[in-house]
Order: sequence, then structure tokens, then C-alpha cells
Amino acid sequence: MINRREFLRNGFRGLLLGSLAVMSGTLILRNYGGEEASCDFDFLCKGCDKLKACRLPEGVKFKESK
Amino acid sequence: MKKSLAFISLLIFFVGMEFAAFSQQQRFPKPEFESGYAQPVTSMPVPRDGMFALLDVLVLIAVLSLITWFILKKRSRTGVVAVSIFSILYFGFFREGCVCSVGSVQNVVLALFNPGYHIPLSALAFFVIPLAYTLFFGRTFCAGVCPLGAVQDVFLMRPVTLKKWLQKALGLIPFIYLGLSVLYAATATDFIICRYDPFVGIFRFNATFFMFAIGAAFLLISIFIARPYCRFFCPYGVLLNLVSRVSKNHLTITPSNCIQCKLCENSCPLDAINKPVVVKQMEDKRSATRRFILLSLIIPALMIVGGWTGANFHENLAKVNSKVRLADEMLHFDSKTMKESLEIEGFRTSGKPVEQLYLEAAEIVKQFYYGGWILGAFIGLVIGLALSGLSRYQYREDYSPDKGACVSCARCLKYCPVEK
Repeated sequence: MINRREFLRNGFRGLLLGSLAVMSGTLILRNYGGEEASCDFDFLCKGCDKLKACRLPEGVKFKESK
Repeated sequence: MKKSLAFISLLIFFVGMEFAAFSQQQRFPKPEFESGYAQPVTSMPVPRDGMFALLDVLVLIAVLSLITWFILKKRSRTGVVAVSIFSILYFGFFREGCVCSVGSVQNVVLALFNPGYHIPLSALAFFVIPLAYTLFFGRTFCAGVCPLGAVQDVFLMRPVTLKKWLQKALGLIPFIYLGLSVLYAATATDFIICRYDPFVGIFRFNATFFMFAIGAAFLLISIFIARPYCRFFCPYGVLLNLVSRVSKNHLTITPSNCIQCKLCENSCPLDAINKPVVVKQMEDKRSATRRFILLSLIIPALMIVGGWTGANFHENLAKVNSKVRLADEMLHFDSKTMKESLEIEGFRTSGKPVEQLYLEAAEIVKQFYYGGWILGAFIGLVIGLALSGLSRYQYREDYSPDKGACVSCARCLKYCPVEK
């Protein structure tokens, strides 16, 4: 016989696990079937034509030539 | 013990094999063509080879399972230390601290808010798997799998217990840090957890002086104060703390019934052991009702004040975004008196109309306005709950780990004289 607190904990655990599964499933499905991946995330690709933070060879070369 | 040694040797062998493959992968530079053909411009960092990403996930699962077994079944601190050293070497120095679960929060948030961003599966796995393990076994991930926690843990030599009020106050910082990192990731502005990770520069041997100084300061503090980054900064720790509270099979200090010998009382360097609480006298109904009403009012009030404050700071928060900063620079640029910066020059060469940049920047600033409200309300809620938690009474008969704060480092186990 489980007490009320344990019952709530079990419920919360199930809810969290379900949420993680749904979120993971959605994100994985989106990777394969959803919108095409875009490269418009400057902070990830360091925005090669904005240069200042760019460590890619092209960016470095441009900065050196300045 | 023999079995565990065999398992660890297997893991080291596994890593050794991977290192050989990794070095081969790096051996050949891109060819240069005599015909004058130029390599296409690389606009993204070279992605990690798919097999390596899969291997990272497999190693994570193996190490998590091993440390959980050491903690819950073997009740062995030595095993935890061995796994910690392995994690520092593998996830820290060999994998250079990337991908890590702490930073993966941002990948998940970015993917949830921006359908154009396809999250790497390894980043998703590094976010979900430790949470799932925590849900069942407590924070065994923090115990020795996370290289950031492990590296601080091995430095701990003379633990000092901080005052409770100071721990409570500093314990609010991870919530603010989590809120800010979610805001910046959701608006596709920056991954601030990665940018200000104090240990990643040390793992990669390429830290700037500033970041090296911060990392070194954290390690020096770790000698006296247990895991300062994990307790007072780690945003992923916030999630693990909440999830661990409902964990099914958390570490227990005693393998059987507690005999109240008090030997473990001061054994936890994180101050994560709950002491027995004496039975409280029944509070009179009137003062209890008054306290309940006060708390019910103070939390929404703090949320509104926090939200309003956050919204007022939205322009300052938005200035971290490169597009907003560029638009601001362009707006205030005077060609007669000022020299063109690299960013402005880069923008002009891209051929994009400036009006479009202003529109995009305005849209981002608007997102920050709503984000500022939500962030402020969240911080208000956290402060309100922390305040109300001070008056919360929970009866306890035995010494037990605080399931949220305990990182299952297993230090307390050797203090318990009770046999199984």
C-alpha cells in the first residue's frame, strides 16, 4: 500500500518521463521530416561575414589582410 | 572489486581504440589543387563524426550505469573516485568538454524555439539520459560522470561548511543563470553556458587568460568549498536537483535502520544531510492562516515586480545579440567622425539592406521584452518559493540525504557503522 506522498511522486515521475520522451520524439522527428536546417545562427557558425569572432580560416585571412 | 577493475580496464581499452581512430581522422589535411581550385568557404565548424557522437553516448550510458552500480549496490566511494578520474580524462581532456550535459540545455531550448535548428542527437541524448537516470537513481551523474563536477570533487581537501543563509542566497544564482541561458538560447543569441564555462578552456588547453583565471579560481575554491560551480552556478544542476527530489532509488546513508549514532552528521561537504527534527508544537490556527495568506500574496507580488524589472532591462539584455548590436552600431554610426568597424564592413559587403537589419533587430528586441517579463517572473517565483520554504516544516526521525542537493558522492557511506 503506497501513501499519498509516494503516489504523487510516482505520478510526477511518470509525467516527467513522458514529457522527456515526447520532447525527444518531437525533436528527432523534426530533424528527419520537418523544416530544412537553417544556418542562420550566428553564434553557432560565428557569422563568417561578420568576422570579429570568426576563427575560421577565411575570417582569419580577411582580418590579417586588413 | 576484480569485476570493477576489469570493467574499468575495458573502458580504458575502449577509449584507447577510439584515440587511435581519432588521430587517424585528423592526419590528412585538405588537398591543395594546382589548377587553382579554391576550397568552398566553410560556414559551419566541421561536425563531429557521427560514429564518435554515438560512441560518446554509449560511453555516457556505460559510465552512468557503472557509477550508479558503485553507489547504490556496492556503496563504494573508491568506485566513484575511479569513475570520476575516467570522466575527467575522457569527457574532459579527450573530448574537450564538448558535448556536455550542462551546455546541452541550450541546444534543447534552441531546438524547441527555432524549428530551423536541427539538434544533434548526441546533444539531445546528453540532455535526456542523465535526467532519466536521476529520475530513478538520484544525481549519480553529478557524482562523477560530469567532468565539471568531477574535477572540482578531486580538488576538495579541507571542506568548510558555509552558513545556511549564505548557501540559500548563493543557491539562487543557478536559477538566474538558467533563466538567462534559456532566454539567450531561445532568442538564438548566444550559448552563454558554453561561453562562460570555467573549465572547458582548461580541458582544451586554450583558455584566454580571463577564463583560465576564473577556472583556476574555481579549482582553488574547490579545495575548501565543495563543488562551488555545481552548487552555486550550474544551470543543469537546477533541473537535476528538482528531478532528484522524486527519484525512486536514491542513495541512503545507512544500508539498514539508522541507529542515530550521529557519526555521519558532519560528513557531507555539501551540507546535504537532513538531520532529525523534533516534533513541532501545533501552531494555532489564526497565525497559520495569516502566514498562509501572506505567502500566497508575496509570491505573485514578487513575480510581478520581477517581471516588470526584467521587462525594463530588455534592451540591455538584447544588446548581447549580435544583430541588435550591429543595428545599434549602424544607427549611431557617423562616417565623418567614426571609423567603420569590422562588423559594419562585413554587413555592407553582404549586400543586405539596412532596413531589413533594423526590422530583424526590432523583432529580437520585442522577443527580449516578453522574455524579460518571463525571466523576471521566474526569478520572482524562485525567490518567493525560497522564502516560503524557510517556514516549511517537515518531520524527520533519521539522518537522510537531502535528495535535491545530494550529488551521491558516497563520502558519507564510510561513516555509517551499520552493516547490511
